[in-house]
Amino acid sequence: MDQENNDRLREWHDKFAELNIDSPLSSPLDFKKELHIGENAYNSLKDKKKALTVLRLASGAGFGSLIASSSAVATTFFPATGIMAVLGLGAAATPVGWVVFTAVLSGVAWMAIAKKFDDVGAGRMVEIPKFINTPLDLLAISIFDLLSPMFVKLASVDGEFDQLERITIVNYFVECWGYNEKFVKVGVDMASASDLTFSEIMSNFIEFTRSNPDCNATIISHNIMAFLREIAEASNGVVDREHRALLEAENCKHLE
Amino acid sequence: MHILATDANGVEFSGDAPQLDDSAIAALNTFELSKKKIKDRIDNLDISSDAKFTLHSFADKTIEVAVDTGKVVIWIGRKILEVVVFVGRHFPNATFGMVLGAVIGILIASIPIIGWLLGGIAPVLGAILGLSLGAIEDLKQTLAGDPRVREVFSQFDSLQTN
Repeated sequence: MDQENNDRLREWHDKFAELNIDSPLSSPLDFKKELHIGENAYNSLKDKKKALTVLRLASGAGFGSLIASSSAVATTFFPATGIMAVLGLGAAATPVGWVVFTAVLSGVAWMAIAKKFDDVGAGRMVEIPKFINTPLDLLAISIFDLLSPMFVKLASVDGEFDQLERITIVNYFVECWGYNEKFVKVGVDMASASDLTFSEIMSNFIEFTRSNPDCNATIISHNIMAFLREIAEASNGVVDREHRALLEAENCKHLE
Repeated sequence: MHILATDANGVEFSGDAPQLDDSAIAALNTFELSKKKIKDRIDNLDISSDAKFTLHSFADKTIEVAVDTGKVVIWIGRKILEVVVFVGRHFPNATFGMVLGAVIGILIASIPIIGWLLGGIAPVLGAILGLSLGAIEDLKQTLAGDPRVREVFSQFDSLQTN
């Protein structure tokens, strides 16, 4: 954590005392969910995913067996209990059983099945890590500091930042991201003072999410674009200037 | 009173703790920080998610004590983390890992049940946090000489077993 982050946290913590809150978040679980990082939050699990990818790429059954014979794979993946044991594949707890198992499932068929399950899983289930790598409050403040001026700028592009747009933004942070309402209300007022242009803020945000190990930049950007459209529609539909700002945001998203 | 604990592999620790009475148990189970506060603190540490997860599991470590009416659970992991928070507050220049390592090191060496309970998890935490043994040893010496810290550690004395 560098000095700039520390100063920023200190500045906000003074604010927390004024607001009588401990954290910018009232529902940390919702916040972690919105990061869409899933099990990638865990480095040790990343190794497991890598190994699984290698197994999937081993299209020949023989090669699959060869990889699975290694003690690293054997000790990493054997469940001592669970469905394999129930299915009578408890022998998979020994290297021999595991080799049989992978040999059967490797090859093109396995790749196709695995891909299908990956695709289905991505839409049907949300994985929320219990912990992420970045200090949680710091990440919450950083994301809020980047998103709130972006939303306020878009809402103000038609010349006024009206009550309906304000409520839409506050509700989004509170209900979707799990932020504390008091924090958001104060923060949105502070965001109105930002000197940065809309596209500068958008670029900073995309750069931040891409460089932070706890953010799935692609999904977050996609969701933010959807919410920007919601803000634009919040009062009197999408006017021309709002439409242009949305196009600008789309361009930033693709150019980065 | 009789202390009993079982680890994940089913290995048991059993011993008589003559200094452990109702008031000592009550003191060990009195917490300054709620479970949520402990989790919030862990959430905000600048350490990897793996280390946070291991630390959170550590907070759930318990031991059982046989009393006249049955058994009482002592939330020993949570108590140790409170001590870590206390020490961290008084030694702000030490990193979290150093403080954790020093506190666990002192307790493992002096209280047999804690040594037995944490013997497995301590090296894992040490490896994940990348702790330097030399720095921890230095801090242990400093802590041992501090009367505030000695007083906090004294609450674990009742867990000494024969």
